[in-house]
Amino acid sequence: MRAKSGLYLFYLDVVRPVLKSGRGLFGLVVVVAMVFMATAGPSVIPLDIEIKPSMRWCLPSLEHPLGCDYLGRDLLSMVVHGSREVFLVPFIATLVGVVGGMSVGLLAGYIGGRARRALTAVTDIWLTIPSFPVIFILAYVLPKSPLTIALLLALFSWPGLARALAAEVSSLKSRDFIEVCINLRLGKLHVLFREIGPHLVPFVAYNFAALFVANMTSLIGIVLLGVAPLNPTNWGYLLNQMIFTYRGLLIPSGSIIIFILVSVFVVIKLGVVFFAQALEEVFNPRLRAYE
Amino acid sequence: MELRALFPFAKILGRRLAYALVTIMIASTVTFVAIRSMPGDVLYTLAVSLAEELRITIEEARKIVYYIYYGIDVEKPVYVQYFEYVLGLLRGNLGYSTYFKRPVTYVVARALGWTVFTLSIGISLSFAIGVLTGMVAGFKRGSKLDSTLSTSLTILSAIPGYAIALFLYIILSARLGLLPARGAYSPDVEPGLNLRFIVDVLYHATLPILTYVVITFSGWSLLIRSNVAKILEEDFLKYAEARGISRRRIITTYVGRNSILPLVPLLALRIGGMVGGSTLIESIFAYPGMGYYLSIAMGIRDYGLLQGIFFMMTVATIVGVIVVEMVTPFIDPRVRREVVTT
Repeated sequence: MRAKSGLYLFYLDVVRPVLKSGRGLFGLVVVVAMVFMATAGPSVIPLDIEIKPSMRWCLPSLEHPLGCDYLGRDLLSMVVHGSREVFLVPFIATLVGVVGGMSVGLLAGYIGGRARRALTAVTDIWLTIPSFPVIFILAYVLPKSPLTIALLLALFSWPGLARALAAEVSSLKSRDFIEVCINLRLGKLHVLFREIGPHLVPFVAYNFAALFVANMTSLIGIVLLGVAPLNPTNWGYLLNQMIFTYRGLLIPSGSIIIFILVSVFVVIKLGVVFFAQALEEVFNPRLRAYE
Repeated sequence: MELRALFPFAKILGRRLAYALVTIMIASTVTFVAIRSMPGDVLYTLAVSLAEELRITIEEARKIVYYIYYGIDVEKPVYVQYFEYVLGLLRGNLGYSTYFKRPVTYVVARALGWTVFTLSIGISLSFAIGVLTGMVAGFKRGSKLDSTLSTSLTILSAIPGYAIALFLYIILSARLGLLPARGAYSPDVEPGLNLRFIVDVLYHATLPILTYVVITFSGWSLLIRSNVAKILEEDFLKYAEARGISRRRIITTYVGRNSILPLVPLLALRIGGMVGGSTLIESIFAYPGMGYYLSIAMGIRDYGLLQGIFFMMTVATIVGVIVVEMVTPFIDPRVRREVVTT
C-alpha cells in the first residue's frame, strides 16, 4: 500500500511534469530508445556486413530506414551495433569524471581556506589545458582500448563540475540551516552528505547529462579524425570512412546519408539534454519556463 | 600612486604566470610520454634512413634520432631526460619535423598566425553576437521572441562543432560554391601587403570564422539571457529607474555591464577548449593552422611536429587566457578592489 502511494507520488512529482513539457517527453523517448538500442538492439537487428556495390549510398526506404553506407550495408544496423560503444565509453568517462569532480568540488567548497585555494588553482589550471588535443595525442600513443579512451575523457570531465560545486557548497554553507547543524555539533560528514548533499543532486544530475553528451561528442570527434579506431561500427569511424575515404560529401546521395547519421547523433544529444533539463525543472521549480 | 594602481595587475599576472608554468609542465609531460612511447617501427624507419645517410650503425642512429630530432638524450636517466627536454622546449627547441624536413619552429611559425587570426576574430564576433542576442532575449523575457530565440539557441548549442562545420562546408562550399574550403589563400595570389591578397585571405577565412561563431555564440547568448533576467529583478535597478536615469544608460551600464562581467573569466577558461577545438575545424576545412598540422602530424606519424604543434597550442592558450585576465581589472572595479585587499 505504502509502496504504491510512493510510486504514485513519484508519478505526480517527477513523471507527470516531465511528460507535460514537450521537450521532456521528447527527451524521455530518446533516452528509452538509447537504452533499448544499446541493450537489446544488436540482437533484434542483425549486423549487415554484406557488401552490395549496387546499394552504395542508397537513400532511406522501408527496407533500409536510414539508407545504406558507402559499401551498401544497412545504416540502421551499423548505428545500432555501434551504439553500445558510443554510449558506454562516454558513460564510464562521465561516471569517473563526476565522482572526481564531486570529490574535489565538495572538498574545496567545504574545507575553505588554503586547501580551497589550492584545489581551485589546480582546477583552473586543468581547465586551461587544450583538452581535445591532449585526448587526441594520448589516445593515439596509449594502448587502444575503450577503457583507455574512457579514462582519458574522464581526465577532462571533472574540473568544470568541481568549480561549480565548490561555489555551490560554499554558498550553501553560509545558510542558516547549516549553521544550525554545525551548532548542534552534527558531524562534518553528516552535514556534508546528509544536509548539503541532497541540495546538489539535481545540479549534479544535470551536469552528468551535459558531460555525457560532451564526452560522446569528443569520442566521435576523436574517432572521426581516425586516431582511435575502436569498433568498425563506431559512428565516428563510419563518419570518417564516409567523409575522408569514400568522399561522400562530393556525392549528393552521400551527403544525405552523412546528414542522416549526424542527425541521429544530434537528436540523441538534444534528447539527453532536454531530458536532463526536464528533470532539473522537476527538482527546481524556479527554473520552469514562463507559461 | 601609480605603483599602487599597478599592483592588482602585477598580482594577477604573477598568479597567471605561475599557473602557466604548471600548464606547460603538464603539456610537456604529455608530449614527452608521446615521444617516449613512439612505436618501434617509426623509430626504426627514421634510424635506418639516418644510418644510411651518415654511414653509422642503426643503434647509433637511433640515439641520434632521439637527441637531434626531439632533444632527448636516451643514455641519461629518465628524469634527467625529462628535465632537459622541458628546458629545451622552453628555450624554443621544438624538435624536428621528419615529414617537412625542417625544424618544427619553421612549420609552427607559418601555422600559428592563421589559427590566432581566425580564432581571435571568431571568438570576438561570437562573444559580441552572443551578448547582443542574449540581451534582447533577456529584456523581452517571456515573450514569443524570447522563447523562439532560446529554443533555437538550445538546439544549436547541442549540435557538435564538427557537424556544424560539415554542414556549412556542404551548403556554402560544396553545393553553392560561395566560399573556398581549402587553404588560407589562393595559390595564384602573391602573398604580401596588397589588396588582392588581403581580400583573398579574408575570403578564405570566412568559413572557419563563421563556423567558430555559429558553434559558440549560442552558449554566450544563453548565459547572458539568464544574467539579464536575474539583474532585472535587482533592487538597484528599480532605484536607478526611480532616479530617472535614462533607459539607454540603464541598458548599457546597469544591466549590460553587470551581465557581461561574470562571463569574462569564463571566456578566459573557454579559450583552451576553443584552441583545442580548432583541430577538428581546421582539418575539415584544410585550413593551414595549428589544428590542421596536428592532425597531419598524427596521420603521417611525425612525432616532432606533433610535440611542437601541441606545445605551441598550449602556449597560445595561456597567452590568450592571460590577455583576457589582464583586461578584467580594467573593466571590473570589483576585481581591482578584491585583488588589492586580499
